[in-house]
Amino acid sequence: MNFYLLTKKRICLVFLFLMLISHLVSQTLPANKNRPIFVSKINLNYPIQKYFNNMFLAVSTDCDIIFNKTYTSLSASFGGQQNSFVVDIIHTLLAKASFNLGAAVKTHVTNFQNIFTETNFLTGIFFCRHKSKKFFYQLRFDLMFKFTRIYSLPVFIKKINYDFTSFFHWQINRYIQPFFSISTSELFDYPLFGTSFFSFGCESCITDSITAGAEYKTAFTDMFSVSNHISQSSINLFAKVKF
Amino acid sequence: MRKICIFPLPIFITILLISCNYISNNPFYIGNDVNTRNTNKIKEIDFELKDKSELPDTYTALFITDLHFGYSNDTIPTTDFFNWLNDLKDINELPKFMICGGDISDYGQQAQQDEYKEFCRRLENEFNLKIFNIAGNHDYYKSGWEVWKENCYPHTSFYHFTTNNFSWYFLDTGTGTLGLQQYNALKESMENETKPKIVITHYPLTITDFVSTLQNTTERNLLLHLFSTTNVKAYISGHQHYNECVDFKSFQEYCISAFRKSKGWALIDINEKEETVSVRTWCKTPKFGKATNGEILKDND
Repeated sequence: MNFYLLTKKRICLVFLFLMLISHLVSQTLPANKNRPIFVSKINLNYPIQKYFNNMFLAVSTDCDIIFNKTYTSLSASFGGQQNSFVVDIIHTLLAKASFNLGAAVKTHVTNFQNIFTETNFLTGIFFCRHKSKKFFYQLRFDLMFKFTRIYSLPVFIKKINYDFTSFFHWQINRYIQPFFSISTSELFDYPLFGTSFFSFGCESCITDSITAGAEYKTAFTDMFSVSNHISQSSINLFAKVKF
Repeated sequence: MRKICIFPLPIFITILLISCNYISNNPFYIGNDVNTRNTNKIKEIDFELKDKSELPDTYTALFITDLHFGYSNDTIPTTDFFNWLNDLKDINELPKFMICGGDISDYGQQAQQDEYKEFCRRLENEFNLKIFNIAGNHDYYKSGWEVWKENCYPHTSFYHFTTNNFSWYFLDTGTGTLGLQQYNALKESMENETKPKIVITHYPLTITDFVSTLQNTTERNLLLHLFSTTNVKAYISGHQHYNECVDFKSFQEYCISAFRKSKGWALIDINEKEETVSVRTWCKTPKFGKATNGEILKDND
């Protein structure tokens, strides 16, 4: 059994562990409106058109904690030679009936075995419009600081960049909830500004606490200056459990 | 509600239109995908000078990039360039061959390639220069791959040749990426070659933060690792239109200013015996930085 398969098992164990912890913590807290909400999510990402960040079948897990005005998300991905971790925190500064405005910080660390480690630190603003119960959209704009250490080179590479994410979600009914997004990055992939990621999918609430869904993701490399073409695509299957 | 629901549509259309800077009217043209341009295997070229003579131990190669034939708001520095070459001819210091770093045409059309052919004919006839080409992003606009392939020697975008002691690699980054297929073929070839190497392509590796460099940093990092472990001495590119150098200690990355918009070109100085490479630049109207007149390009940091 190789490391790659072991990590797949490991991530499933981590997901189960997160679910258990989330469940236990939520049970110990008093049932009032200030009680934090825990969401554990597991993703299976299958590459259709392979690319540098999309070479292998990857399993990832997220644990989201929504408490008062703060949303915290911890994510980890294991796929082939590359392992990534993300910590994302959004704090709502202005909450109105129809929209929220907040500040966001995110850190992404990725390691490509024995070749490089890259750290992305993002900070920016977040806007969510939710006037109707049937539809909401989120926009996020970040300044990105990218630090790369390549083990075979004696230099440290620093870049400053921008990141834009948009997400649109419809709730047609409990079982049909389509969504799509346009962004310049993915949860585990932060190219320099210019690459455009598109994704569309649908999720379905199976029970009050369990949601499952699928999405198709694709990206155009350097969409702003080259003859555009799809450089990568994948299908992502996911399941979420809410406590 | 209806207004909200159609809100994403303009964003989507806007992004598509922005991408069509030169109205690439066929965003799903299959030739735009680097994997369809025969990049699964590197093509070996037999290196031979135009006059069939032997290469000396030290010599120069001329590098020009971003000629943009068809761009009507600016002209190429024909007089200055040919006068400069004539001066070199007078003192018997002509470069041994020439490399064109891409963006030959502005829209990837045959009429623009015809202008380039005329320009090359003069270089070949008056200065005896053999010309090696690589493609840039503009060459692929409007489905221009077939036009480029038909007109530009050696009629392939991913190739390799060896001189006495150096190994020269020409990579296809015309659509902003090498792609996995080309990267794997390059890796295999470089790891099996012990000679010092010079890499020529259109896109810079690390110079600038935005669309003028390879976008995918995993790809970039893997290339940097590959170059630092396989005896690469120099990585030479264009695209960005101004001169810059980054010193990675084991090799240097050079970006050469545009021939049309910055009136720039470069000489690559090669010492085959001592395995050294350096670059001198001439640039009359730089968009950034200062004008140069044959100074060696160095990392300013």
